[in-house]
Amino acid sequence: MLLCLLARPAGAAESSDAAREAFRFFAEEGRSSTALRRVAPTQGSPVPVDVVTAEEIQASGAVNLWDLLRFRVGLDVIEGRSNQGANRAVVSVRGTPRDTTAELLVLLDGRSVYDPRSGVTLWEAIPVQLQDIERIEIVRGPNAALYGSNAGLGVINIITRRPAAPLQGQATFRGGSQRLAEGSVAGETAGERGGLRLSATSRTQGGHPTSANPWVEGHDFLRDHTGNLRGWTPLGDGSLELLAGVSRQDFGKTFNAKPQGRLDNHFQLARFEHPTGPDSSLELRFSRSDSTADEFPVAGNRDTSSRFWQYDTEGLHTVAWGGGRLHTTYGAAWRYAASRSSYLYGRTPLQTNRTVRGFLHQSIQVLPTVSVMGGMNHETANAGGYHKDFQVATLWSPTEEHSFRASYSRANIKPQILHRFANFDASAVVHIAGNTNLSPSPLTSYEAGWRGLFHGSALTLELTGFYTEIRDHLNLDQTSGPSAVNMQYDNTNTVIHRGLEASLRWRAGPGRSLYSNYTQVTVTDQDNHDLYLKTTPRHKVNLGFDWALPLQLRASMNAGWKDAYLADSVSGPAQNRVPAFWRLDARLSWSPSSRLELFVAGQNLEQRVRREYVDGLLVPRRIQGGATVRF
Amino acid sequence: MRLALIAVLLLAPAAASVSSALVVVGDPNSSSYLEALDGFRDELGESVEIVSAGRPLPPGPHGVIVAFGGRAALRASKAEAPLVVALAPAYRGADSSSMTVHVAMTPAPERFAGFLSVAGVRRLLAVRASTARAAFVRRAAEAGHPFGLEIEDGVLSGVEDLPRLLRGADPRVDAIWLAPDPTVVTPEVFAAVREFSRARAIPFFAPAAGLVSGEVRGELTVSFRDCGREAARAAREMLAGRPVAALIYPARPQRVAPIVKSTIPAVSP
Repeated sequence: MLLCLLARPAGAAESSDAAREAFRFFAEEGRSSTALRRVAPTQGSPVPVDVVTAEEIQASGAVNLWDLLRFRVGLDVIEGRSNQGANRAVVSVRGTPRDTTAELLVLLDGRSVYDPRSGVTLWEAIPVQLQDIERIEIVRGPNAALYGSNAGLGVINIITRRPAAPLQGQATFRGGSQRLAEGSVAGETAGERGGLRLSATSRTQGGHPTSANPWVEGHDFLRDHTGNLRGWTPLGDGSLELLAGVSRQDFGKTFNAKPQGRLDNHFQLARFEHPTGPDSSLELRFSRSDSTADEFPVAGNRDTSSRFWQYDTEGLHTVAWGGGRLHTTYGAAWRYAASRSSYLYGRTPLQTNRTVRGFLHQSIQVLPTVSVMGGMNHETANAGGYHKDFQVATLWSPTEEHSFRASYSRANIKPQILHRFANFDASAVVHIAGNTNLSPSPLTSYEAGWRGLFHGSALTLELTGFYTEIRDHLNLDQTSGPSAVNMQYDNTNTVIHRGLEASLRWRAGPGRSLYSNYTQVTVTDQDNHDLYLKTTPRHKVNLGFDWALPLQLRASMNAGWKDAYLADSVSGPAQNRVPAFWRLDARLSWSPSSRLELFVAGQNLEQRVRREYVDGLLVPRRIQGGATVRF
Repeated sequence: MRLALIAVLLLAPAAASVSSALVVVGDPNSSSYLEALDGFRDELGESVEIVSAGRPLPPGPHGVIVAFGGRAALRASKAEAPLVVALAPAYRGADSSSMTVHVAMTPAPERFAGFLSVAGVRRLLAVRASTARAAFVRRAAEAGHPFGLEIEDGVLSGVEDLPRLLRGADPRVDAIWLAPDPTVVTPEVFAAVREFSRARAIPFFAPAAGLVSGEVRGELTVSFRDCGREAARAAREMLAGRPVAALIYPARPQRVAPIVKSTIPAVSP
């Protein structure tokens, strides 16, 4: 089939010189646009970038944010409530999945959403709705020189829709097994004086089955309410944007008419973008976020609530010079994070962390086909310590359709507030203690790759190999102390990840695409911890399609095979061996008119229940259906 | 040929008439801009010196600055002089300046609607991305209304949005037009829209003359040379002290061929 695709002749119009020149003209004008911030094409990126589009989000039938990442190359998603409580999914890139994955930086419209207490991303608590997401960019490999610490193994940037339509709205209702009920509505208006988008989603979902009795629903129901606002207005040659969101999740079991756990989040972000010349821009961003976690007492009378709040300021300037052959990006950022909990920190319930960093990134086109890039980040934090990160990369594009890249990176994963100042009982017999002597964990990575476009960019092939070494890796190890089992954070381990990633995507036409990808990762570590050696599936294969059918029908399918792995939680003693398995998700929709879509979808279709994690909950088969109305 | 033309443009001595008060900024290494510069020179009837968009402008004062392309326009907008901007479909940097004249890359909306009506189009899907072209589509829709022409405004929030837009298009759409917008004119979008027009056996109007082939209609496009000619006319009027509209639509195309739908092949991919 691949040979047939390669043998297919290219289209007539775009292969002619005149067409090429016309496309080149519009590409050049796109780069010169003052309305948009410069976005480098993925073909010119020194690191592999995978993009989940709005189209793919709609076709996926996903209910949860992490389900959009499940079938992507290099990523691993484990579903099932972890021992961290609210975190219903573990998403990792290039290995070592665990419920404290801190090497992956997750951004929402450029704003960091990882929990600064522990570096963990609580996926359920991210205040974003699937209907608002325009694209998700997945950057694999270290990118700390631009994004700062914790961008060690990758960056996931969730980008929401900027209002652009004169007047538009949509409403979606869905229901299904596991007592799923969801309603969402969004409306937007935009013109030359600005734009505004408002959206809201409310969802109720029953608990997962338990491993003790798969026919009984577990005590982990979820009620989720999220609202978002995004507005912009032109300001001089630039634009000023305001983004805000609020969310509440109730989860767990009902206890005295109250949910076991409650998470309240809200955030505000103001962003100013101003063009400063051809292909140059200035961006200033200020944001704050606040999160409160309440856990109602289930035993004893202890207060386990906690709150953290954070202020972020970042400014960056991108300049093109030397006739467009040189691009310089430099900037600085400041962050204040605070966490208050008498449960987590004992006698000193308020802990803070101030972070300051400065960064510089330079791209030089040394030859028409060769570019060299380098970057450096200096960062210091009172809880995380000082570190510097850097990366160099070269990109060779002998033709417009092919590019080869090689890079060397040094990034750091810094300890967070909890790792330094923890002082709590995780259970009646386990005590967790912080360690004020922790230092950042340096991560060194080498990688090389190729990306090729065929048939007028309809077919994309990509291949990447990497070797990553993490020294002084953060660990939770047993030590002596007041309880029966005493655990303390330390960082003495060295972990090595080696891997290969291959992907293929063919876009046959509007609404017709298929893909396949393969990921192989081998993890070794100095201390022989099962947590590192056995928790990463060695082989993963994903394949699927999205295909428009006659009669306004549309079918999509995603299937993934995952090698056997050990489900092991860093925050608990339990372990479970999970055998290799296939997962199948599918969706069928019918659009009798441009304003209405009816759909039915299913996740985990090949098995009624399956274990993915260690906490006694099983992932059930889900069937759902619903309708979307656009106006 | 291109080198010879560059040499003529760069080395020709500056004439002492209109061209002496003009500064022309552009990129002489791109054949698109060069085509427009050629049209500009033809219309002006004189040689002009071209300042590369990457170099500083010569010291002023300047009579009129003509910029070809967004990069040149950004460079020229720093100088306090009347400015003519052409071939810059995404440029919005100097909208607030009363001294700036834009040369559009489309026919006037009334002419645009008229051409479509004559060609037998009843419902056009106009694919655009930025809010900048909203007014054009609205005016064209208003102009086409008396003729029974309806224009569906297809706004793309991003390239990824295209399949959804096409799939959601009204089944009565009998022609499709891709606006000359840098965000949407990419090989990928172009191929998808052409595929859509093939599948529905409807005409596809390209955003630039260079993209017109046997199965892609071109009567609605304005050539880069025409844009250059319009820029020269505007500059000449401004130098003469005569008023010029802030937005100029090239007079061409001046005719349109009726569409015979059976000539558009419905080819399977």
